[in-house]
Amino acid sequence: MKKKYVLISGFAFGEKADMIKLKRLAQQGWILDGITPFFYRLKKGKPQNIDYSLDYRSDFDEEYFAIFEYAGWVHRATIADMHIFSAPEGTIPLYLDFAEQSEQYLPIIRQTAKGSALSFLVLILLGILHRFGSLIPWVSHLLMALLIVAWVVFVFNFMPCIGYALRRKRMARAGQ
Amino acid sequence: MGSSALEPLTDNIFFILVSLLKDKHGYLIMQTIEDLTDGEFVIGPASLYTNLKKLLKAGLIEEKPGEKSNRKVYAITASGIEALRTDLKRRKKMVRLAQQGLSLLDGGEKQ
Repeated sequence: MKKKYVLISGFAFGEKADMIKLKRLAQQGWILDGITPFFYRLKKGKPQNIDYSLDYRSDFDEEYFAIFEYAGWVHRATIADMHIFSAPEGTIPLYLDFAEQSEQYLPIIRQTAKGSALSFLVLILLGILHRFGSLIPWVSHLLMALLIVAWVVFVFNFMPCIGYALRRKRMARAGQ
Repeated sequence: MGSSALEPLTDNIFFILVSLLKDKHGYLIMQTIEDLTDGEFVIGPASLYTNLKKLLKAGLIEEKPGEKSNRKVYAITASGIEALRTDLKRRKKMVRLAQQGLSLLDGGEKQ
């Protein structure tokens, strides 16, 4: 079976563009088959006119997928609390109500906000330690390395947090 | 404001409760709503699942025991019926107000 991997743009900012990209690939016969932390896994099959849609959910059971399937949405991939489904063009969308749709982002906003706050605290602590520990070279290097890690963790929490918060606000406003 | 956090009921919840006046598999609710409204009102699967969880938590519906976990059967509870009745009153009042207003308008145009 022919396989191919396509880079994920990031769900906080690139979800819409990625779903369109996956749709185009499906028209060429490349169908979403799974997901890894950085890539979509595609399998070669028959060209199809399908739409992709992503749903955020942490509290789900078997019935979740059964209800989606009954509505025409086939489960294609799951990573963390994100589930990607596909359905023939024109199928009733996952949500028809913007206010309801915006609620799905609340858990991930809370989680990334917590991650941002914690990593920011660690950054400050490491920064202070670095000021004092910089006299000994190996301690200084170690602290620098930890600072970089904490910075990466911070950015990867803070950016999505902002992205989802903005999207939620936009959707909630559209639903009013 | 009603007694439950879900009141006043959204249209989606209103229709889910109406369709659960008769016990039903979760996935059949979407089709039932479409049939009841002659296709004028549809509900997406993510909306349905979210609202089923909310309604269970609020005690307005319950899960019937002994079914397969991917094909649960739901039923409206006594408080669900109560919430539906309360909301029906609210909706009737809304319709009445609009009817009164519109009939005044129609009457005024004729004169």
